[in-house]
Amino acid sequence: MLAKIFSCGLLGIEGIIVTVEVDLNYGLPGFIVVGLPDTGVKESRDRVFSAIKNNGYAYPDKKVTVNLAPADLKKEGSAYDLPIAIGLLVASNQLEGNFSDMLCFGELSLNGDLRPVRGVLPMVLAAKAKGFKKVILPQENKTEGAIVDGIDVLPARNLKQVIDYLKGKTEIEPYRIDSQQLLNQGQTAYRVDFSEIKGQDNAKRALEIAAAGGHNVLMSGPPGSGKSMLAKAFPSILPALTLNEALEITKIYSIAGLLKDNIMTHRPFRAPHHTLSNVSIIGGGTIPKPGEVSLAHLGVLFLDELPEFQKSALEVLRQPIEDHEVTISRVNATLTYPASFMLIASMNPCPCGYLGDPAHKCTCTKNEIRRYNSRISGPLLDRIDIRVEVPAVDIKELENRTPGESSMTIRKRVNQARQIQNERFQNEKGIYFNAQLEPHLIDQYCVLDKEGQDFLEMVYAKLKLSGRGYHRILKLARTIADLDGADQIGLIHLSEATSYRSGQ
Amino acid sequence: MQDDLIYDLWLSSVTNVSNMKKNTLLAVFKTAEAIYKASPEAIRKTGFFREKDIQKIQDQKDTNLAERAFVFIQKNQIVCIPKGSPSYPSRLEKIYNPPVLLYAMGNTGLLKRDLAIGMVGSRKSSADAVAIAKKFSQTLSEMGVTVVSGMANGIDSVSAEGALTGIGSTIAVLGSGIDVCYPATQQKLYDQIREKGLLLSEFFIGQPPKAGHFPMRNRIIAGLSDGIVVVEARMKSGALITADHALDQGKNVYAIPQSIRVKSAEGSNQLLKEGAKVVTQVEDILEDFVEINQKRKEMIKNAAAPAAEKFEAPEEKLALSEDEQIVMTAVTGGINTVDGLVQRLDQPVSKLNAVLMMLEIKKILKVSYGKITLLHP
Repeated sequence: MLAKIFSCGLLGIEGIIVTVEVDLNYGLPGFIVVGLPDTGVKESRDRVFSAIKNNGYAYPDKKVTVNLAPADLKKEGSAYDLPIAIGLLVASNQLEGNFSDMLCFGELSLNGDLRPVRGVLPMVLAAKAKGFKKVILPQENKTEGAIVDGIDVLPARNLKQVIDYLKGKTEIEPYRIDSQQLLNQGQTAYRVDFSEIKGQDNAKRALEIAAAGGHNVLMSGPPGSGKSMLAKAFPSILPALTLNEALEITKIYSIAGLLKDNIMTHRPFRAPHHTLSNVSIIGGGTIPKPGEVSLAHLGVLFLDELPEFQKSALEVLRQPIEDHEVTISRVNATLTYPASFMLIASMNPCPCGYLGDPAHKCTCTKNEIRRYNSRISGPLLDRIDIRVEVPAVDIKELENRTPGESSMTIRKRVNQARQIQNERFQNEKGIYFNAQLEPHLIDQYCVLDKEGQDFLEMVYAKLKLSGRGYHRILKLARTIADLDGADQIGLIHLSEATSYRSGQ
Repeated sequence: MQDDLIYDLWLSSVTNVSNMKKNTLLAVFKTAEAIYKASPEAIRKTGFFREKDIQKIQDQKDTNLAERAFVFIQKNQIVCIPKGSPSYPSRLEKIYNPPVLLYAMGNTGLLKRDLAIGMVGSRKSSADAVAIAKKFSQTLSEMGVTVVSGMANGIDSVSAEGALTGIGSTIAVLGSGIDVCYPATQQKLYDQIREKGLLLSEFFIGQPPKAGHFPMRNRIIAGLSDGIVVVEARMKSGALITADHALDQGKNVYAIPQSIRVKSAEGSNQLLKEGAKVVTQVEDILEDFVEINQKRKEMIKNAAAPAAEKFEAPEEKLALSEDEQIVMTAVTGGINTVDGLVQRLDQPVSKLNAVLMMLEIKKILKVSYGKITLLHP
């Protein structure tokens, strides 16, 4: 008898329904898996054999053929152990029933215990999308699976429990959680609050604008001026995650095997070390995994000491910054991972770090400084709207300062500005905030009055701006006006926007 | 004359024999030609030279290089001024160890001007100092004073730039061969000085800039000047060496005072401590050299007016708005950081950024790393 059980595989961050067909034939006893299985899948033969035997069932004494369809998709991992085992029992008539509305996956141990697998969330999401009613999965994956509403998630501890359930002997209670509540619970504390950073009003303001308009930021300043702390505090002023956004981030972390809690409750803050390779920033590998740009999806990618990064690693950033996703082609598959992140970069003004700092002596030569700055290419700089200088601060002076605004206060303003942008761009597909505006949209949405135009022309001539620089100022001015709640971009908005172009 | 020059060029081209020893040779044999033709015995007989030096001179007795250099200087309009020639600057004759041969390109008449002031300073100087150097050199040049500098990055080149426009013009003394532009980034300035000012070097054609050349160059800067203004210098900097040379030569040393917190001004402040004259306006320098009548005084004052109580915009059409006026009053009142303005004026940084940007575009001030620098000191 031919058995057909549904399971799920992964392609990029999406789950793909895989049909596990098990057939028994006469011939020399053996076990063949077809459908591009990797070693992990092929090895399931021995796990399944022992698990069936050790749970009091018989392993069929026939030639076993397992087909994983669609057959042209590479299958990997141990998640097919459970469907293969069930398929074998059905094919050998030890189990009966209609399993067409059920999806299952899980790794088996030799005594039949179910072990957790990675990528549960995208698989359950795929099951729900395809109309499956229930999913049987390992006990330890239950919370991650239960985040998805509208499908019964049935956690099982071992193979015996699954068989008993399928035979109707016992019931498994569907596991349910309130994912919204889970999200809200986790969203309370951030690592650093803006009120903890004293002084640096200019940099804080720049970050507020960045958060409001989705602009990338480059902070430049001597060591110890607080660049890293500002960057760490940045996620706390970003708009709170919606459930859909949280699910999308959780999916990526689930695939990467980096999910610590059940659901990602914070916007990710990725701060990779500057020795990282092209592959680790973009994603890839023989078995493609999401890279830093995808792990920073809907959050912040913080590149500390930007000029110290390998030049090629910085150049590969350009495409995801532009497209908000990254496509990796490998022999096995072409995968697309989302990568809509905000880039916060920091650098010193010169290799020794003290250029322009009145309290220290800079020991760099002019050439060294030029070389240092030229490590960041023009095209990358063009994609960074805000450049802000973070001066060194005097500790004694700071002690007397009153704490600044809290992240909550700033976030409120950011949310309002985002709201305005959402309404403005509701008819533009794929545009959510000002930083995404293309030149033709800038002409449409960033209209200046006569006074503003005169001013910008003067700026254009005096600062010798490039075309891109011109557009950058317009986009920034739009965001600043949005923060101000103004419909029309005023002179004061333009002027402020111009002040964030230092480092040219 | 042409033959003479060949020998002068030859003497200049001899390497590994110091300028000091060449001077001694000239004192004994009178002309470069005589030195060339002198036998090793004759040189030995003077008693000033070691066997090693005599050997070195003997080894290099070949005018081939000098002849090639002669063709080159004629083609490139380089003027050679040997020591003792009537066009040799009299100021240099008096210094210790004067160069045996000067290479010049440009307006050699500048060497004969009444008053020359050297302006030196650090290569990496604060924006403040750069603005001051430019303004000072401009005013000096407009008053007819020739500004002498070393064309290095920073204060030197800015001073040369400022002086180029005025009638006093500028002399740049190089630490390399006259045909070598160092630093290479100053090519434009090099060309401009050749056109309107004067390039000067004691080093043979094609000599690369060597570390040892620069202290030697500094003695010429000091020698050509009647006084040296140190705009901003670190401790142990070339500018301080120049000031030392000037003191040795009995010249006046001036320094522009800076905040004691500015690291790059430690050297110049040290000079002040040791008794250099404090300079806050060009008049302070000029009064040591020329009788200044009332009218001229006003002229100078107008040319380099210090910041007034209430700031006045330099140009009529750049009238300041009310906000800009408030910020400028605070800035000229001594608040020179953005953070400081935020605290003092109690206004949001967003607004101040906008106002400062306006002022920056009007070229009234400059903001760098939170520090505000006035461009019209």
